[in-house]
Amino acid sequence: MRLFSGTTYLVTALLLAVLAVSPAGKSEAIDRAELANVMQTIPPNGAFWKYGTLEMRRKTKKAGVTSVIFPHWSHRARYTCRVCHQDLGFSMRSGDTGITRSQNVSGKYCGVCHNGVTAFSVKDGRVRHCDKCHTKDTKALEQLFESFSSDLPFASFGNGIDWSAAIKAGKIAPLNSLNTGLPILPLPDKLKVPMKLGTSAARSDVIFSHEDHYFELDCSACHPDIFNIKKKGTKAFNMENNIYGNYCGACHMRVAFPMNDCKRCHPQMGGSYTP
Amino acid sequence: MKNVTVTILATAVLLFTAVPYGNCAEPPWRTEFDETCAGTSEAMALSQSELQALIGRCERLQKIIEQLDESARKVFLKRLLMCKNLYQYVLDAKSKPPEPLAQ
Amino acid sequence: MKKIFLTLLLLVVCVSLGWASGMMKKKLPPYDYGSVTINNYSQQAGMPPVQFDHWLHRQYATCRLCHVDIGFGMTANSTKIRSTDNMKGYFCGTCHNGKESPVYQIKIFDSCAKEYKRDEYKRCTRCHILERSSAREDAFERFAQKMPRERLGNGINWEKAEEMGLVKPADQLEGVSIMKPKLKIQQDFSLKSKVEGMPDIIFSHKKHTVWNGCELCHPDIFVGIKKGTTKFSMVDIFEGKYCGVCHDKVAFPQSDCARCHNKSPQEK
Repeated sequence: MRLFSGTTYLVTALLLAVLAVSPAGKSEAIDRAELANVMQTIPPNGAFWKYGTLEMRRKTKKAGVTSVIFPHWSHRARYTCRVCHQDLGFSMRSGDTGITRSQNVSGKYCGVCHNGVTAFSVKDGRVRHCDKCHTKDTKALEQLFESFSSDLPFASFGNGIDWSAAIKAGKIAPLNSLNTGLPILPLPDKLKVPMKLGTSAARSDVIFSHEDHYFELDCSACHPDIFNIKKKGTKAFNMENNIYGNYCGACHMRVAFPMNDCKRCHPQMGGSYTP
Repeated sequence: MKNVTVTILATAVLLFTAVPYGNCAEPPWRTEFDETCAGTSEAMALSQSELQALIGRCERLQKIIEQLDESARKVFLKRLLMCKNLYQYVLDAKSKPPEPLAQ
Repeated sequence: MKKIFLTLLLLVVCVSLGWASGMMKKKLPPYDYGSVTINNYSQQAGMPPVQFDHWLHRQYATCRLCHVDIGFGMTANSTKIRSTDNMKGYFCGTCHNGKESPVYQIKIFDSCAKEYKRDEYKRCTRCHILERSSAREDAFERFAQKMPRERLGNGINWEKAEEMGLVKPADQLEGVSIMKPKLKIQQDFSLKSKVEGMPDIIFSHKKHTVWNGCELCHPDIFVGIKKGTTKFSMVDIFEGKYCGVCHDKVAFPQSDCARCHNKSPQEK
């Protein structure tokens, strides 16, 4: 009897534990199942065009229309992350933005560019472009990716495109602002020097470039939420937390190059993965 | 009968307290409060002795305000402390010897 | 057994805290930026918590009017508003008294009441919000459309809106405020940034005194009066101290770096 009550206690405790973890775990970072999904889209498991391609279905499901297929790759060739995620108000967390058709039509979110001038319009016109975003059949999108990526520097992970090499080679030139006259901070010299982040073994040391990231983003994209700027303030910064969508994993697992491309950050760990 | 008296009394109390910001004659502490704390926007221009006098008035007022009913006490004690602290703060800054310019 | 239970619970809390680091914060939709839930006594009185929208109120009143003259604290749970306070004409009841307001020339609905009937309950739910409705979002959208845009926070550039006269927040209320001349403007000054090459900060007393009075910031938030006495860093601000008391909660968020760091290094 005593044992039984003990077990009940333990079961309750475990149940509570699961309940306590799940809201923080599930809504904030990704869970195991989600990670498995991500892994499936990452080459060698998935197609190049699928990496960073999102399916948005929260609002569409309710409205009974086909969900939106959003390819990051076609957009990031034209604009830096900053433009959409900092100037236009697209959150980087899925479900936060809550884009509606009326917002798009009134010139917000997608409608800022998709206005019939910069890009095809979200509005009803003589030609309707609904299925360009509410895509049921992705064949056309796949074909577009083929022709789009054919001329870009190759990488064996993610989109199969080395985006930073593409920029450096002048193959793509993403715009950094929509000419709204907003000031863009200069990057202080001190931060232009690549940072060496020590790890447990010298072989796995990381080289981090503020400059490369600043090309795409503002300080506040990462600080202080993802990386607080206290000295030694970033605790639990390890590979596992990264893989589960924390820290670097906030971007580098779903849109920016995935973390199985080890040597991009751990330059001395190259070799074995090179095709 | 007792009920009616209670209701009348309650209404009277309610009526009396319901208009703290009415145009009718303000209680003396309120006039004193308004006068004492009117200097916050020009505290920087006041002399040390003026500030000290104002802080003294604040302290005397505090004792009166602490006796008020709960609602009035909550509001006016907070307002009084904000104004007193500001005077104190400006006074402190003025009584300290000027620091050498370090830039 | 209880010990095991507690240990387990502690472990769970630690794990979830560990998990919570290094992640993107939830981005609030513009209509929710600066909204405050007030629930000190509501639920014990059988009322849903109050949902207070700063955007709705700051078009009518400066920060100073409510946070100095009316006596609302700047931190959560510091004011402890009771319905009796409102009924007596304090806090919300200062303006929400069911009378024609001499300042705004509109009738402002009454706040709390000791007793209320079914049809009056609708009035209660204007502040004690039962469930989210799209009406609140729509009202915000309609308002925001008329205002100068800004990319972050609630998407409204309040500073510009006031300059352009699109909002005329009242700074004094007869019978409540101490009627005194408007604050003499203190000089703007620059704050040196710590990192070389980072633009310095221009602190504009002028922009701040439109909305505030001295006693709102001094000495509670900024203790030092002589330039350089209050030393603070971005870490402090991120933690909600100093500028972070308002900026990130109601005033434009800290993520708008260049809004403060705007003195180009060449101008030094």
